[in-house]
Amino acid sequence: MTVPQLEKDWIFKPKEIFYAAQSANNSDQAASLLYYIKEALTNPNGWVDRDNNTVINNNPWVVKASSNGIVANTSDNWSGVSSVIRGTSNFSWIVLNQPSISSNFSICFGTTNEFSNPSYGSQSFSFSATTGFDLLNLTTTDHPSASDRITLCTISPTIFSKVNFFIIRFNNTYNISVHIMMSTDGECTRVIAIDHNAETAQILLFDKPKNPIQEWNNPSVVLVSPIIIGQEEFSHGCLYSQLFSTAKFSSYINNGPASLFGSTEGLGSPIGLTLPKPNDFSGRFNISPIGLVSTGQFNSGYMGSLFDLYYTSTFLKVGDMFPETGDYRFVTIPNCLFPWLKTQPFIGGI
Amino acid sequence: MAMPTIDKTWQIVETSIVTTSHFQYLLSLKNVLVSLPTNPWVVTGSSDAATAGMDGVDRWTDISKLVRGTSAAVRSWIVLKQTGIHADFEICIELSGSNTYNGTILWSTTGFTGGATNARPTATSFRFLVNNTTWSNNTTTSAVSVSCQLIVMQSTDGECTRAFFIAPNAQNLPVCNIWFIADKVKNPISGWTTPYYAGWSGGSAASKTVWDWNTLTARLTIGNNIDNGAVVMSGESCISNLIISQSMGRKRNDLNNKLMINKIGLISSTAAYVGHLGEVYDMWWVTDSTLHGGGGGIATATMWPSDGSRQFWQLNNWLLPWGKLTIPNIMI
Repeated sequence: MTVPQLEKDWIFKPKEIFYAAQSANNSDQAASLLYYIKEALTNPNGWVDRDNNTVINNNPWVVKASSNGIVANTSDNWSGVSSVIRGTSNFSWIVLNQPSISSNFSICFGTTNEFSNPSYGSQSFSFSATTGFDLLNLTTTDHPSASDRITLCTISPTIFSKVNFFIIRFNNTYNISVHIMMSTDGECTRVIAIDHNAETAQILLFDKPKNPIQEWNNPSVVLVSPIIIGQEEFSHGCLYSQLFSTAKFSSYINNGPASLFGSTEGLGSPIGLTLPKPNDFSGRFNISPIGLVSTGQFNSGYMGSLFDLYYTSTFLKVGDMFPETGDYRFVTIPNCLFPWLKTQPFIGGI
Repeated sequence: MAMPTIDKTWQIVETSIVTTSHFQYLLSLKNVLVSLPTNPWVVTGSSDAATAGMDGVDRWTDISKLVRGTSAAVRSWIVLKQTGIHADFEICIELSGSNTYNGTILWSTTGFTGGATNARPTATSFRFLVNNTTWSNNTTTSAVSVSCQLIVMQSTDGECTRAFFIAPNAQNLPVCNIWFIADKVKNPISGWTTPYYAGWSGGSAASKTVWDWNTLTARLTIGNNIDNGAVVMSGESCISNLIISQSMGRKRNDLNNKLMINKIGLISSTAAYVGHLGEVYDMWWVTDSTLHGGGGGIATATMWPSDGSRQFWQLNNWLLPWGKLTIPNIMI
């Protein structure tokens, strides 16, 4: 397959470095990252287009409510990193709404009430796809409620819990790079966080699906790919083993939560895994689109696909660009291709 | 999922074969292929075991002209050409077996030449579809058992030909015993100079009824040389299998109550042909076994969509164009 053209226009906040913690307390770094993500998504300034020109984000996310561990209301109480706290009961969270996905689509992320192990820097995450969060009964001790709330990272993690992180776990030694991208129409937001040591990449994705079936009301899809901390494993967040073989995408479909697989062309296993070598005729690595298949009890079936996100060969590493020169439309984050800046290779310049 | 768009215009011929001889299958197939209304196949040579030649003469005029022979014995053979696939695309059927359901079938684009009453013609490069072995899944000799329905579908541009031999099984359910495909590839990968493939499914009883993607391995041949490889029909997959073979693919979509229909790709793992090579025209994957109502199979020749328009018919895991006013006549 030739390198596909981008279906959307994208803007970027690339290459933000978060330095390794100087002490055993990684909570500070986690707070910095959470605050950075909030600021990036809600601030129309500071974005660049694919040509690296400064542009305005015309569809920023909107703060709907927040907690700084002291107060919880419909204001943006995250005035700085110091607003992002964790505690034994009270903790910080924030609700962001992206009406371009659907009118009430909202995410809620923050720290946790797991105070005993600040070195983990654990984070919480939930989202509401259709109803939006309840903004009337806000508290500093829990995420706001929603009738369709789906929690992907608990506010009360335990040690060795498998789902402690909304986005990457910090460590004492290695820096982390964070890259944020949004489609200019606001329908797609992706965050990539890369550990400089193992080059493992964690992914956040908040998208309106491509070609959703007509009957899917308020279609949206979320991907949160945390590290499995109990086993001290650090693996990429968009591997075939996670997206193709397990249902890592989340959504709310037909009045219930849905877990979706990222399907693609294959012989049972994906073509980029079974035939990772370059095509013998084109000399190119395979690139295949990603479908969304749900297996829920009341929302089973093929639901749609994803914009500007593709599976590719397992031979490729973080930072491999497509095409090879010139217009860098895509960057490899194993085993997927994400949109990228035209004029800057992913690795060069970090 | 919405019904797919049909790329080509199709001509469909149905023939009932009531016979005591397996050779009638091959004779009927030949007769249908050469008499198609548009872009028929053309006989470029033949042998009736008495005379032979690559002279354009069709010596297979009736069943008595189909004679089998092994080793150096005389035998019948025939070569058919379809220029819609390639200017020189030919298949050669040789009755070289020790019984009426064994033989040899091969194809070439370099041109068959020569041949005699005791030897098929040869080509510089060719691929075997059946190499002196069983070409039919039906290896009985009972008169009833060898009767079947032949359905031949060919695109009017000659680029795609499919033939299906369907007979009742022990439960009197229609089963496809043999299929033949010779197609040009849809959207072939850039750089592939021989974008066509051919396949013949007969042989062991294990492949009698289905061509689910597992059994398709090594059944579809590409290339133009005896050492060239196989191509397999790929499909939308997740977890570890084609979706249409898993629970979410065997159920109607919970939101729109439709079954899943997936396009079919062509993938090869053969050295020098590795990768995604293209797609199949007007053929799609569908489940043949639903989980609804306690489960059960979807019968061969189930028509789609359900509005009675009969735009498509289902043959096990394949959805194919139909478009005729009548349903397939496959109940014998």
